[in-house]
Formats: sequence, structure tokens, C-alpha cells
Amino acid sequence: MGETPLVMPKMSMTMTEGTLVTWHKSAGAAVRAGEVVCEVATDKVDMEVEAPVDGTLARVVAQPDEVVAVGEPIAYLTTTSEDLLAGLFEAPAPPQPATPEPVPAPEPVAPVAPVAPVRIAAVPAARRAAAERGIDLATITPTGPSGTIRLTDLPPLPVRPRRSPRAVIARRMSASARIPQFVVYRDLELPADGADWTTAFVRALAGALRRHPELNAEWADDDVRRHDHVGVALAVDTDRGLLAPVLRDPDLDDELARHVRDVVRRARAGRLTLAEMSGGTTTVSNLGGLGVDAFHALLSPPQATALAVGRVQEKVVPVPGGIGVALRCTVGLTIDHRVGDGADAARLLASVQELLAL
Amino acid sequence: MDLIGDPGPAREVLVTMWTIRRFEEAVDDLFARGLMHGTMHLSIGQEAVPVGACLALSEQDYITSTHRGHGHCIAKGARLDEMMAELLAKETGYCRGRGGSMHIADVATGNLGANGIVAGGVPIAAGAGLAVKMRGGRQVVVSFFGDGAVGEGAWHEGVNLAAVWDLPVVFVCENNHYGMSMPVRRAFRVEELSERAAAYGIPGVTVDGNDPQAVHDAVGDAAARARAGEGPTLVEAITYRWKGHSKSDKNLYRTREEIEQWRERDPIARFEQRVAHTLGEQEIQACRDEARDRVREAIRVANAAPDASAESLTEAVYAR
Amino acid sequence: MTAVAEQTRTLTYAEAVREALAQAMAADDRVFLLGEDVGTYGGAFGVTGDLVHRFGEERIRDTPISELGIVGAAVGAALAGMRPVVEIQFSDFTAQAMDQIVNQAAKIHFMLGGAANVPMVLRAPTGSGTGAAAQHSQSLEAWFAHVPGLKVVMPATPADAKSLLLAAIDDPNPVIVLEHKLLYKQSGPVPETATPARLGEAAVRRTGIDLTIVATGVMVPRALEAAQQLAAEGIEASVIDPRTLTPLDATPIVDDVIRTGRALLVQEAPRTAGFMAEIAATIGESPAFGHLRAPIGRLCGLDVPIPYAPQLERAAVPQTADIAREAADLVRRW
Repeated sequence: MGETPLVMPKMSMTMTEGTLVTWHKSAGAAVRAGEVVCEVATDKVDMEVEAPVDGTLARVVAQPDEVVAVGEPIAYLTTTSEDLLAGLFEAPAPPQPATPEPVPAPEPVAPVAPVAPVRIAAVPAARRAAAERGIDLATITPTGPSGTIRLTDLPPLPVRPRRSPRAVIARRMSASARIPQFVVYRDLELPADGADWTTAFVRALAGALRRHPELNAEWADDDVRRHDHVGVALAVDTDRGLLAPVLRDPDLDDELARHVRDVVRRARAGRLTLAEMSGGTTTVSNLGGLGVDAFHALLSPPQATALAVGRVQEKVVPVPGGIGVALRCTVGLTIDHRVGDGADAARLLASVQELLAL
Repeated sequence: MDLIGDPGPAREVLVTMWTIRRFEEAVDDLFARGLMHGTMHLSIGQEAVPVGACLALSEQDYITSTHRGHGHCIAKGARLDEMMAELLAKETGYCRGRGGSMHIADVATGNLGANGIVAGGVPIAAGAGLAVKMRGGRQVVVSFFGDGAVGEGAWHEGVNLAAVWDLPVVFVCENNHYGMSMPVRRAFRVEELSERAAAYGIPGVTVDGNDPQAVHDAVGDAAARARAGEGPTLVEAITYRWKGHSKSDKNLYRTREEIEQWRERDPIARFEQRVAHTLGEQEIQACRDEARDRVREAIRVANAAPDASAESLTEAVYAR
Repeated sequence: MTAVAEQTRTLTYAEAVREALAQAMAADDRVFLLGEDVGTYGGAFGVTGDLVHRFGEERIRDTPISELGIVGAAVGAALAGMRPVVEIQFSDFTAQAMDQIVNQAAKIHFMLGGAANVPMVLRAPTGSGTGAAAQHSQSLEAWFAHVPGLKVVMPATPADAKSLLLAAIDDPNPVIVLEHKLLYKQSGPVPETATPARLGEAAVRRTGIDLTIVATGVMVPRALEAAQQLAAEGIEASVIDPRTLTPLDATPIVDDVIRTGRALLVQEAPRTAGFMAEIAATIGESPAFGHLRAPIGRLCGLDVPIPYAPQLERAAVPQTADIAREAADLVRRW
């Protein structure tokens, strides 16, 4: 019958130690399980400590006012009752840290402050652009709220020595002139209730090229090489000259009208993407809006076809039993003779007519 | 079931009550030595209620439990080492150290969980009963709660839903006379909490919660009603907790004398006297030893397990 | 061009929700609906309609006025193997049920170390514009987004109302679905099939180059309207609808802000501590930060309870004109 320690109990979640206040029993006294043997003071409250078992208070270890850590003995009992936890924690089990690690004292703030740099307010995009271009933000005059440098406050990008826009076209058309090409005209009949002719022609030409894949091609390496998509470049007259953004597979686009409007608007605003400037397999030019009846468009190499759309106008036409009025439009289909012949061109135009009439 | 005269059930009742008692004492001791974290709500003195109640149930039946739920959990068949491991914040605990004492559940044995919110489990029990009924099952749900829970809106709503939908729920109130420090007589105007059952149109009965046979009979009857589709019952079991509400409880709201009086009516000691003829002194000692050994083994196994890991905490929030 | 031509018809948002419920219940016996006045009455906003006649009173279950109790019952039923959908009549009333939502449903899977989960859905009409005043008009999504363990969804179109609800029902976690009251009567194309969307996936509703508008709930159609108006002024805005608040799909938002350099975040809920503050911080912490050419803007409800008088009610939350004005201002100033 050995001695069982009566330890300083943990009486709250944050308690790490307690102070012995007073003993209710003295050494040698008998105790019953549940009987109060002493009082301890904790960080929160004064608590009564009960004897865990029946037995005798063998010896008192902690004296009044003594501070004892949780889990350390404050007295020893002798008891015939066994210790339920005897032997289960051989080495003193490392107490679960119940309190957070003590916060280390903060480092004293260095009293000497370096000379504070001038703080410049700039939007992140401007900072990034300035860094990329080697511009010192201190040299920029801010025009944004709170003296913040806006992206547009940075000087515009230095203009690369640009060829005049005419030079680009000159180069391309000179190349075109070396291609054996001819033009086939046809006066197309248009549905009376139609509108948005540019979209209609783009769609019809794309659909027609889909039917005649041998013309949706280019002359390369001494042979006709067909494309796997139809890209209709749409010639747009802008301040910066003639631009021709490409609409890919427009005959399959349910939102073609919106995309055409969008691309024309952005072309005029100078907001086309690089991807939109390539991939054309044919070109549609429409001078009808400017009053031209018909014209011959030159090919844009390496494209093998180009459609020149003239003015949509009401014309007097023969109808069974007399005279009628119909909407007509003269188109010119230019074709690379290395890729197609007159009959091919005629058949392509026939398909265009068919698709327009739908 | 005759828990007094029939040696099989008598032994089971005694071993289980002792197991709960020793488990709670061990937890109390571990906490006092600084080896257990957080806080504990011990049910020492209340062992007869869960033991009597759960003996009227089968493994397929459900229970919902409270913040003072170790006894419910053990009586419903939980594994002691996984319970202990959870309290010791080990990876092998029921909740992998993430739930702690108040959130232990063992879904496999029908324990839908302890609950840190007073009366939190009451509507959940109604819902489990609803699921059983919708599937045409015969299981029963026992909803354990204390006297304090009867003051919560959730209690009212959960009991009412079970009543209007005739759900197979047995509402078991462990009336241990105090919410935390609020005595029952100051929290309610009725003499017995079971009177409240009438307000919901369901039967209510008050029994001696320290007599496992009385609890067992009342819960058994209620379970039979529930299985027969007759709806819920309120069983109020009068008992007493020896220890404070939690570890920070100074017991200022009750007297030492009162605690002493109730300790003299220790449900386990009383039961041992009543089954002395059925089991005999040796068998009774064997029950005590078995309980002690099971708890010690659980502590040993749990203590040797690895601590709960902080890895994969964020992945543990959503079910996949 | 869509890969598979899904049969779609035009349904209202409310009809789409009803269809989702019907299809989910037809496919899975475990799914059932409980709520106040969802049965014969047809639901306070007419969402459940005739479902009770098609599925019976057990599965379209009317309850007493007990939000805490019925949400708790949903938790219990879910734990016991069912897939309950609980309708709370106004999102404001989730306040009655907070313990079961926040302390129980959200946490059970985690607290139990993964041993159980709570596959339930809580649906509630949310938002203002019906003159119902302060206690029936709130937008409380930030409360729920702040609780680990919940998923929060705000469908803005009829198609999403259906597909996100189906996804929520499928999800093994508790999902809060907030349906804006003003959207219930809005029509839109809804696929016939019962294909759940993916939770945690944002929808880019419009792509522009000048700024990124992020909007939730009823602010999505308002933002799209505003974007049309802005286009006429030469300002092209993206509009992104997160659809799921938690877990948030931030990638499309971040990618778009990298392109546009400007963000305007629009919510009906009051400004302070609203969910757009979360998105703003997320953008600020992301690679998009270095591409910002303007401070991240928030356009939110006023920090006031929703007032009763119609002009006051309108003034308390962003309208289409407000979105257009703030967006234009942002683009011009920065």
C-alpha cells in the first residue's frame, strides 16, 4: 500500500499553476472520496479540492501560499483503493500544452529610421509598365485621384518608324499583280426582305467556298493546297487605312451579325487583336455603300478568291406577264487562275446566289 | 427485460455502469493532472439512465446525445479506446481529434453524436425519426437531453414536430436538478418536466433515473409505442450529477450536504445491493474488475497512438 | 456553336426550380421537401406549385412555423440517409435556424472526423424589391459564406436555378441556395434534361475589354443591361457571375481582370463585410494585382435595413443605371 500523490488539479482550460490556500484536513486524518481536503486559488477562482479516494492524508507537501504547477503533488494519500491510472503513464507524460506558447517579447523597434523614400502613388499597371520600359515614376506627372499616376500618364510607347500605311498596301498589291487572276461578274438577285448585306455576303461566300473546297485554297509549292477552315477577311475602311480582319467559319456562326458589327467597330477603333488579322482564305470588299455599281478587287496573296460587292439597288426586271422590280447587286469574283478556271468561278458564284436567296 | 433477477442482463448493467463510472473518473483524473485538454462534462452519478435506456434498444436504433455524453456513448456500444483517443487528441480518436468530448459520435452503432449546443440534438433526433418513418423502418430514436434543454426553443420545436408527425422518437430527459447552476425549480413552473408532454399531446412519465430497471421499463414501453407507429413519448429520469457542470464549476449553487446525500444514493451501489442474490459477491467484483481493466486498456492503447495531425485540415471540411 | 443541341424551352425561374425538384424526387426516393406552406398552398412564392399533387404530402411536407425545428429535422434526416430540401420562406428567417445551420449542419462532417455527412439543401427566397421591408428583404449570403462547411449558391438565371439546385441536391454537403425574389418571374431558356451544373464554377456572361463587372443574384441581369448601355457609349464590359460563392471559382475573374485592368464588384447586400469584399481581396492578392489600372470598385447596397417606401427601397440597392454610371466613371477616371 504505497502512497498516491494528490496533485494540483487543472481546474480550468487555461490554468497552469495554483496557489495552496488552506488545508481542511491535517496529516494523518482519514478522508472519504469526494470529501474536501483543501482549497486552492487559480487564475480565475478559488476551488475546493476533493479527495479522489477513501484513505488517509499521509503527508502534506504544499504549504499555504505556496504556488504549485498543475500536475505536481500537493500531498500524498495512502489508500486501499487502487489508482485507476497507475502505471499507464510510466515516464511523466509530457503534459499536453494546454496554454499557447508564451509569446516572445517583441523585438525593440530600431530607433533610427532610414531616410524615408518619397512615396509615389501609381496604379499597379503603371508601375509594371514603367518598370518594363525603364521609366522613373518620379518623372511622371500624376493626373489620377489623390495624386495617383494613372496608366495613361505614362508617355505613349515610342512609335516605331512606321512605313506609311500605303507602303504596306503597295507591297501587297504589287505582289498581287504578279498573280494571274481574272474576274467574273454576276448580277445577283437578293431577297426583298433582306438587310445587313455585308453579313449576308460574308455568310454566303463562306458557305459557297465550303461547297467548293477546291477554291478555298492557295497556290503553294506548285500545287493547290486546300485550307481546313474558311476565313473571310472583311475589308474595312478606317482612318488608318484599309484593314481586313478575319471572320473564321462565318457560315457556322449563329451570332455572325453581331460579330461583324463588333469587328468593324473595333477595326475603326484600332482595337483588333493580332489573331484576327490572319487566317483569311478569301476577302469580301463592299463599296456599295459608297455608290459603286461594280468593281474588280485585287487578290490579297495568298488568298485565291476575293468578292467585290457593289451597290444593292432596286432594278426593273422582266417578270412573267410584264415588268417587275427586284433587288439586285453586281458582284465581281476575282480568282487566282492557278487555282481555278472560269467555270469554277461561275459555279462558285452560282452557289453564292443560291445561298443568298435562302 | 429483468435487469435484477436475470443474471445476464444484471451483469451487463453492472459492467456498463461501472465502465462509465471508471471512464469518467479516469477522464477526471487525467484532466486534473493536465494530461487532457479542453473541458469535460462528467456524468458521474447518472450512469443508470443511459444503461437502462440503451438496453431497451438494438444496434440499429439511433440516439442523439448531449455535451455530457460519455455515458450515452458507452452504453450504446462505442469503443472505449477510440473515445479515450479522441479525448487525448489522438489521430485514432472517433473524430480524429477534431471533435473532442462534446462531438463524439459512432454512426456505425447508431450514435448520431454528442452535441455542444443544449437541445441541439432534439430536432436532429426528430429528423432521424422522420427518415425512419419515411423509409417504413422500425428503428427508434432516443433523444437524450438534460433539464436545461427543456427551456430551449429547439426542444419545443423538435418535440412538437415529432408529435405532429408521430415520429418514432423517445425523448429522455436526464433531470439532474440543475441546468448549469440554475435549479430546475427556478427554471420551470411545472413540478415534473414530464407534465410538459401533455402540451404536445404525447404521453409523459417520470421515473427514478438512478434505477436502471425503472428507466429501462419506461424507455422500453416508449420504444414499443414508437415502433408501433404511435409516436413519441417523454421520459423524465430523475438523477443527480456528483461533479460540477464542467471543470470550472465551483459548486457554489448547491451545498456539500446535497451532494453528499445523493452520493449516498449511488445508483451503482444501490444496484449492487439489489442484484446481490442474482450475481453474488465474486461476480460483482468481477464486474468491477472488468470495467476497470477495460478502461485502463483503453487509456493504454489511446495514449500510445499518434497525436492528431494538422495536415489535411482544410480538406476535412467538405465531404467528397 | 453548341456541341449537343439540348432541347430547351422557356420557363420562369420559379418553374425551373420546381422542375429541378420534381426531377430530383422522381430520380431518387431519398429526396423530399419540407417547409412552411409548400404543400397545398403551393409555396409562398408559388415555387412548389402542384408538386404536392404529384409527389404526395409525405414528400412535399408542410411544417408548423418552426424554422429551427425543421432545419434540425433536415439535419437529422440527412444524417439518417435521406436527402432533404428544406425551404425557409424568407432568407431572413434563417436567423431563427442559425444553430442548426451553423453549429450543426456545417460542422458535423468536420467535427466527426469525416465519419458522417449532412447532404441537405436549404433554399430561401432572398433580397428586396417587393416592398416587404426590413425583416423580409435581406441578402444574407455573407453570413453563410463565412461558415466553413457550408456551400452557398446564388443562381441568377432560370437555367442555373434548375442546374445549380440539382447539383446542390447531389452534393454530400449542406448547401444554401439563395433565390432572388425578383427573379422568380423572369423567363429564360431551360434545358429539359436533368443535368446538374458543377458547383464552384463561375459563368462568364459577357466578355469585354474595358472592365470586369462581377455580380451576384439579381445584379447579374442588371449588370448585363448596364453593359448594353455602356456598349453604346463605346465601353465594353465583361460580366462574370460567380454562381457559387463558396467554394469560389476565382480563376475566370482573375483572368478577366488581368485583361481589363479594372474591376467593379456589384452586390445587393449592404457594403460592409459583404461578399464582394472577399472577391476584392481575392483579386488584390492574385496575379491580377499587377495589372490593375484602377482601384477595385465595389457597388453595394447601402448599410441600412431595407426601407419600406418604394423609392427608398430602390435607392437602398444598386439599380441598372447605378451600375452603368459607376462603370463609366471607373473607366473614365482610370
